[in-house]
Amino acid sequence: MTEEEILQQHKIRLLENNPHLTEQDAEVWAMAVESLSKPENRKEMFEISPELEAQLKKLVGR
Amino acid sequence: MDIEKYDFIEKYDFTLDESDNKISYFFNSIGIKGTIKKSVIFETKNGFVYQMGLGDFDPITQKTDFKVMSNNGDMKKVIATTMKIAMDFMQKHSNDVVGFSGNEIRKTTFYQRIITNNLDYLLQYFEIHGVFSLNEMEIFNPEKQYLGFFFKNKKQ
Repeated sequence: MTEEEILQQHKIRLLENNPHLTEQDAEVWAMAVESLSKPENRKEMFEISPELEAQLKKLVGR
Repeated sequence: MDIEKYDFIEKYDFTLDESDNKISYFFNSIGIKGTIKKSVIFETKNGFVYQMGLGDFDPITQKTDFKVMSNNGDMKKVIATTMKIAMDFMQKHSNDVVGFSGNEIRKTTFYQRIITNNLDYLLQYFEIHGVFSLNEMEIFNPEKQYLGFFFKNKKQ
């Protein structure tokens, strides 16, 4: 799939799921969606230790 | 900078995208620097703890920056919108936890002040926990300084 086709897919999905969206904004947000799929554009997550994860599991009853 | 209480009523409209296990929200911040495109993402490594991030998307470079503080003069509205997005996300993921922190101490302190100054409102909907070391968290105490925060839906 070409990049253009991928962006078009994102745009269609955005317009379907967000009735308030203009076509112009959907085009920009489609680029943002694609940008966020690249690792260098992801937020660094803070490290959750096994001990912390165990406490969080208890919190949500898992 | 004074951090007041928010009424959480004045906010921007937001847009949701869910694809390939990535959940992203978008909205336009409109202020003294013009229109800044904002992204709020939710990511998970274990399927039940989602980390939330707020960043700026530049349509020209097509990069998203999670480190910037845009200072567009509409901070209250941006924070209120981000909080409403978190609530929307947690309605859809009612049994999961949302965590966040600043990428530097200054930002984390800023977020903590927002939580503290709006605690009554937030506690209507959430249980809030503060992370004070890599391995330890507790019920949020406004008197303490934390490294990060976890929100969970309040049991009704």
